[in-house]
Amino acid sequence: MGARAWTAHPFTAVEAVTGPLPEGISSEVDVRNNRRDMTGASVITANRLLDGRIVWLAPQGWSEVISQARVFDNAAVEDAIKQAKVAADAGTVVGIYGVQLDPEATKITPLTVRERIRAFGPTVHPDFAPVETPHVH
Amino acid sequence: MSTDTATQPVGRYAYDEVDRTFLSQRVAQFREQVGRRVAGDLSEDEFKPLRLMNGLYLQLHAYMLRVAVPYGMMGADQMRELAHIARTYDRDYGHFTTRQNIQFNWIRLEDTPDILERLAGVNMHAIQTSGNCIRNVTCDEFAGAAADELLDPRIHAEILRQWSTLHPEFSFLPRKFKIAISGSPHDRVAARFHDIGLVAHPGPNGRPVFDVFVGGGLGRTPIIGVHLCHDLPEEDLLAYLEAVVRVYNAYGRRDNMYKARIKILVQALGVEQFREKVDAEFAQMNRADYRLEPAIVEGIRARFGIPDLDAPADAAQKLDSDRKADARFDRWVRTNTHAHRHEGFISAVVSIKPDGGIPGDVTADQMDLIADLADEFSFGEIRVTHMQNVVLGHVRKDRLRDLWLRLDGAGLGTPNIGLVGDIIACPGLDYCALANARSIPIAQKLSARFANPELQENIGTLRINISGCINACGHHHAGHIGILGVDKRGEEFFQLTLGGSAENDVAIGQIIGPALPEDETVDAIARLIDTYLVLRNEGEAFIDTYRRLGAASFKDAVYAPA
Amino acid sequence: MPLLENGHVTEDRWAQAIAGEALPAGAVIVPLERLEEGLARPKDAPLGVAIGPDVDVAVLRPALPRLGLVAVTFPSFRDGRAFTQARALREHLSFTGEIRATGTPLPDQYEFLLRCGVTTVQTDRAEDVAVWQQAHEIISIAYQPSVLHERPQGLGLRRFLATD
Repeated sequence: MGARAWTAHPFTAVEAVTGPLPEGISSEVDVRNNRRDMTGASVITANRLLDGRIVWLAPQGWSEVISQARVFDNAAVEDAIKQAKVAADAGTVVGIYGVQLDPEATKITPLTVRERIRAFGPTVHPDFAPVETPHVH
Repeated sequence: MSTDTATQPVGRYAYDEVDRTFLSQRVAQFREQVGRRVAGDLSEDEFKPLRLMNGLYLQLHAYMLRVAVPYGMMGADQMRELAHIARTYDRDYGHFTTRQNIQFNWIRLEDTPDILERLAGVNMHAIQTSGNCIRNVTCDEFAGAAADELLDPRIHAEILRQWSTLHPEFSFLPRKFKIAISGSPHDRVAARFHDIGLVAHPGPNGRPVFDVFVGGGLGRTPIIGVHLCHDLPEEDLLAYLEAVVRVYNAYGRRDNMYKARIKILVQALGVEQFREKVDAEFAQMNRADYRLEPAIVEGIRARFGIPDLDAPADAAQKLDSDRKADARFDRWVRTNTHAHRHEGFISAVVSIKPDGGIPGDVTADQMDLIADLADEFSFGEIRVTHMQNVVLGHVRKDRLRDLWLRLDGAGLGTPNIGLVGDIIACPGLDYCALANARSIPIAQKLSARFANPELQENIGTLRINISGCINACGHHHAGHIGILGVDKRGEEFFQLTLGGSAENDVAIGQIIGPALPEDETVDAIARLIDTYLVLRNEGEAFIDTYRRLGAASFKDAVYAPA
Repeated sequence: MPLLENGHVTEDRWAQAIAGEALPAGAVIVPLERLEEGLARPKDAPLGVAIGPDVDVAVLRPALPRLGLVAVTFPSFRDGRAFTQARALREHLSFTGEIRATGTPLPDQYEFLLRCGVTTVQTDRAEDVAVWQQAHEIISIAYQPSVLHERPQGLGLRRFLATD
């Protein structure tokens, strides 16, 4: 992940107040997956059903690397999420949601530590960072 | 039925054809369920509990498969199969958990039926390592070996494993349900931090009796379990547990998942009313159906292999002279071994906490080495501990140095058991979909900072536990120093608790003050330890100094200006 | 899905009580609130009762001799209270009539239902009956006693399950 120091960011949307939900008890969505600014930009993410790998909604289909992701203005991202959830290939992924981007980053970079770890791999294993592959699934 | 305990796997239950048929049927069932999920006949919501009851989570980066190691016992052949799975289906490593299981982090759903089939080939499975059901029963890592043990708890742990497997009534409980069992007066299983903790000792007629604790747990509401039943006779063990779990299934809360564990029910009813309900259920039951006859217990016991403990008369002398000749070996023996009931044997703890390493992570090559060493030195028997280490239970004292040389050569000889470097850490935000903060980097920085073995031994017994979120998989409330990761606006912060313990002196750690930013946490803990070194009396452990002086003496150290 | 009994489709001879209407003359399932009304009918009129998952089945004890059916329900497949209700009806109250599972249990729970004493399943789920039948047959071994009193196999508490 990037070397830039992480500074507190005032979210204006809903925030995580109760913490994460353990799997297997509730179909509710993790509240952290819904927090976005009113302004700024987001990308859309999910996990692929068959192998669980993190994917990002690209101009065509889903990509394994965030650099390929299509960037949405936050004013448009809710509609885009709704569309992705009913698209023909929606059944090939699990848990579609939007991810706020860091407005100060030069590359496509999520704002939160959690989403940066999803985008760039576990910080304790730089060798497992997602790699660019020529094909988009 | 074979009763040849000499040829059966040492320390665990030997499967027979019926057990193997069951496992292969279970694999076929999951393969069919995966097929229905992929075809869209099952929604993710419906499939989730089915995959969880086969140990499969969807984590941050991929699926995670948690393989059951019943009561922490496995054989060398099983460890080699785990190494094969790590190489073939994962990224060449696995992770030992605090429930004595092992998990793989990079699993594909489409491979999982094949992986489960391979596991079934060595009599292993992932059944009920997750889900709102009775989970893997945990046990004392020195069971059947410890000098202080009153009876071997693994026979009853296996009986409970079998009883709880695909239990028709208790597979959709309000929440998960964890049972631990110990046969030693020294609590090494955290019995009072479990939904049910069982402490066994021999009863008047020679059969075991059980003290039953209920309603303990960590998570977001840490509670010490209450004593529910004194000296429960063995023959009533299953009936009584059925009654407890049945009361929980009927009355446990289902409206709020954070209040769904049995501990909340016990607190809400009060222990007297809870006991009345259990007793009423127990009294109504047709107990003959559930009676655990001695013949049933002995039938299971007969399927456990027994090690042939035969050591030369001078084995202990040889160890003494080996220790005198090699100070590094001597240190490792001091920190990483445990007294065996046989004078010629000793239990060796293999630290899976290398300095600066990831607690509990083990590579495929290390798994193979541990398997080989288990075959050579400990009857092919391997134990996973709730501290995320590995124990070789029955090592001849005169061969201990040979074992240590092999471990040390492979980076598995870190002399830090029970010391600062022996940190329990959950996977944290690097892997876990639930986590709020990373646990592993804090553990790595701490163990690197205190890598010096003289320093660690000087500091003495110190249990540091790190959880990446309030679900407390790193048992932070039970640590002498507990570290809890919290999320503040997408940023990582860490809250410190002091004074917890999961042992006989059980206590819940208390929050010392406001959470610290990630880059200040390790320094704060170092100052805390420095303060202890100044304040302690001769020979006084950290936890005792803390208890003598209270939190106030340490608070300034934590919040001192950097 | 049609009414399922022991893995096979069967004809439903029970009518449901309709809210606000008088009870019909034949076999009828009434909600617990209308149990008294049901019991007031002629003693030979078949009577069933539907209970919610929060009901202690002991409240049915006085009425059980008159009841031919008790319907338990799964508001969600995750809510396992009906398993305990069914087992208590069989084990504590010695109920021998039909126990019907309603709501939304999964076919993957079918064997658990049967082993807790449920005899019929009535659900809106879309699966083919064959999926339920397969869920019943795929596992042939169990490791604990159940109200079906399967014969112990010899080791531990293990027993073979009937798969017909």
